[in-house]
Amino acid sequence: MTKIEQLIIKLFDDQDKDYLTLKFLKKNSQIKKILHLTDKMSNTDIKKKLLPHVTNAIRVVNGYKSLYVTRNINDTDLITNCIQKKPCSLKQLKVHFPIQSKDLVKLVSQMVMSGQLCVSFTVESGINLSINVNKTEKNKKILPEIQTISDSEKMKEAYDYVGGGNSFVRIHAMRDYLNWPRERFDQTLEQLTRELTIQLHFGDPSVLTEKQLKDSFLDDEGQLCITITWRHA
Amino acid sequence: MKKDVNYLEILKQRKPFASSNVSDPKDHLFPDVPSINADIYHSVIDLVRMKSQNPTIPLAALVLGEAGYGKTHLINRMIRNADSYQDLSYRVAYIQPIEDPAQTYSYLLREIVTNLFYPIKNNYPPTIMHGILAEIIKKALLTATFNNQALKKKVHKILHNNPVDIFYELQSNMSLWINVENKLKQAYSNDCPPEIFQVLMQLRYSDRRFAIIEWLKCNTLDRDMAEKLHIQPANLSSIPAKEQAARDMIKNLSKLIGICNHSLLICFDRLENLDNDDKVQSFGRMVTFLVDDARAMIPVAFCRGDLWQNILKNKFNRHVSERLESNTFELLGCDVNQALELIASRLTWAYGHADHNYQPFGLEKLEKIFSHRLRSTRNIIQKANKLVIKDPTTITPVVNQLKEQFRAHYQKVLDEFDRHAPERNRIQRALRLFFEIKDFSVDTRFGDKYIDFYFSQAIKNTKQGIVIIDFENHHRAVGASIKRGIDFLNKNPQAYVLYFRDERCLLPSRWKSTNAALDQFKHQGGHTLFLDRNEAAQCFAITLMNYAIKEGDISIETKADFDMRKASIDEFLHFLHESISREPFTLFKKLADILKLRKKIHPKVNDAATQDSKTKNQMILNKTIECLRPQSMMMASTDNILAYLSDNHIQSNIDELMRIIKRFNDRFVVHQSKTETIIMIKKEWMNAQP
Repeated sequence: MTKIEQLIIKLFDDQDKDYLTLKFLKKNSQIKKILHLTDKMSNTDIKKKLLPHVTNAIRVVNGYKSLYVTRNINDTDLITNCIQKKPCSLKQLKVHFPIQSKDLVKLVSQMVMSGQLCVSFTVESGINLSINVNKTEKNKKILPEIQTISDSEKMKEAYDYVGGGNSFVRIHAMRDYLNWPRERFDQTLEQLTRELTIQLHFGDPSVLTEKQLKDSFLDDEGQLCITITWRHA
Repeated sequence: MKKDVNYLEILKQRKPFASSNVSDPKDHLFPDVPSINADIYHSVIDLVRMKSQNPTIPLAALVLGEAGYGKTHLINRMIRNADSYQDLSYRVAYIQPIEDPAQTYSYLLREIVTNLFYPIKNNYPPTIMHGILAEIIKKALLTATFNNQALKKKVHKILHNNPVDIFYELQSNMSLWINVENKLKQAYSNDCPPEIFQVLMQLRYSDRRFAIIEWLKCNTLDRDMAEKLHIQPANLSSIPAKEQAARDMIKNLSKLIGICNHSLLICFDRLENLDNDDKVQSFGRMVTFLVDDARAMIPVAFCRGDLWQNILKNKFNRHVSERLESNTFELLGCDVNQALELIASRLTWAYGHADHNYQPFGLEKLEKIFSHRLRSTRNIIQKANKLVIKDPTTITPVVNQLKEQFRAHYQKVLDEFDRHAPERNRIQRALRLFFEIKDFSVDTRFGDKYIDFYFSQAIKNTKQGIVIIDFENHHRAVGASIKRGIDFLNKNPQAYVLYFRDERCLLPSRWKSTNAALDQFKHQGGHTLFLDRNEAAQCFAITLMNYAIKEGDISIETKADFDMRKASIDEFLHFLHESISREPFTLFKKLADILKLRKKIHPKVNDAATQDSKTKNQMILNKTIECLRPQSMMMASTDNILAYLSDNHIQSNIDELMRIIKRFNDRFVVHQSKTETIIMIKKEWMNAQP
């Protein structure tokens, strides 16, 4: 992580946010000094100065009427975290959010369809969005398992949720999400592999930490597998 | 029917499963298996068809697949089948990863031009560019009026049978060529500048090809070359001017390709080599430019899925990733039927007939191996190879396997040497690798466009100097490079200044002042290295193999369970370290002599010390296994292992530990994680005694 990334992450923590506008960075004297920012600089100028310092901790994105810097997390996580703090309407959500309105509506629709978000109606603000507590990571660990859903289906849910629309999904993140005993997770993965439902991929270990590697998967031939794709997704 | 043993002998001799890599997409050694990833192939072809029908549609595509799933093979299939469609004309340009982001468009242009000058068929002189031009000429001449009816008959016959023959059979008919040139200039005056037709019509003279290629690449031509082509030499001294000229030339080439309703697929492979943000942004600029401004070209990026979705995608601005992702295709693993088809095709190739019934393996055995999961094509070929190699003692050490693979790369470059034009960045990468493995630190950020890098000995700092690689064709640019060398020597008389040039662009004797400057440079202690064919090929082969290793495209056999795995970058560097000062690396031997580098001589140790050392190594080995067994996935970082050794009163260090781990590489796998080196016990050693 670069020095600038560390400062921006601290700024996120201090502000209790996952994203900020690029202009906001000018308010931090240390960032301003390192990036040689001036008050007159436009967002594009700030972006040019910032990009050489960006590795894997943050992203610079085009959002609602501005450029934003966000934590390097999925768009679905950005939405979840925001609504978790304060349930709101879609109209309220899209203002000053680091995702362009068209994409945001698409993502929110997908999350409503998959049950990650709940929709409720009030006279005052119309349609409200809130988090479906049964689907949140915090709550799912203490909830009793619903026996009617098979482990394969739960694995697919985890794949969709963790992947956030991506097809190459990291095994360690799914393991983390499901929080199952190791044997149960590995057996389900082996079964899905045998059924040709998923494909295991070796991938590149150098992009993961030691813990993430340990939470990946060793196949029956002793090969370290890092991601899976769902063949019939 | 032959006996199993005879089949096995043929397989050992012909080695149909020895290579699972398509390191060069233009190789057509093994037969294609069309059913594998057929849907994706047809989808890409549909895009080409759409582009041909409506060149103004902005199109790009992204093909995702992990190492071994057939990314390069898909490009190979598209090249193979380029002439097999009646209703569709397309060509493929294969772009190697960029090295110098400051020259984004110049590099893209050079790669496109190099690809356009590949022969249409092996051992056949006309190139793709000849083919494109012949199509344009055909359009113009079929409707033209001729005074000479015999000539008309001859021209029509050529254009009907094989249009490219016009460059050879009517080469000397000046009036015809003047006529053609004028017609094309007039007909396409809105599309291309007239100069492009004036230059390209001279492709009928083979001795002007080099000058034409240099002109198309927007390289500065010397007066003689320019006179030969009857053009005014352009003076492109600054990088921005060269970049703009390159953009314009790519647009012109695109229009030229579009005139004859062709499409050019621009395939960007090995994106793993985009190892810093500048290179990533440079790639993004290429994609955006091709989509928006080069309408007959379709950029297609080939990338590992995890790398794209979790890393690279986030580094691009949205309009680059959205352009590529508008047509995303994911390569699929093979089921048992496809695995059998792949193996059968290789067996047919090896035996010369299809009546083999999967011998010597047998259908049942193969079905058992391949039915319980989806596999990459590389994994299937490696499994089949494992069935052929039954004796682990026949497996050669990794360093020797890499040597063999290097020789194959080197020989291939030599065989196609004319297609590897002098390319400064690739020579630079090979030289940087040499200096780095010889314990020099290398600094490329020198801030001077004539100097490639600065080197200094990392430990004692006793030897230092600069490397200048100069492939310019204009005396002013060459003079400026040599002057940098002289200036550096004036300031640092003890330093080494190495000036490299390709023998294909030697200094002409008429450049009197430039030659005098070169003499002065040598007199002051500068070293000139004019790369001959072999030496340039060595550098190209090292760089291309380096790209392939990073992509995970080079596999090696290991003794453990006769398995195959990807060669690591460390193993590649080790191979270079062991071999680079020996045959066939004559250039690097020369360099080692200039820099007076001696091979380290290890002092002899007495028997008692050797015995102590062996005992300690055994203890480290045993304790490492003891440390790893209880760990999750039986893996731990080297720091943790060293801490465990220390707790058990064994003092060691990272170098010693890694030396032992590498010596017992049949028992351990080494993974480089994001932050540390991770050691893992191999499956077959998980329960065995050390």
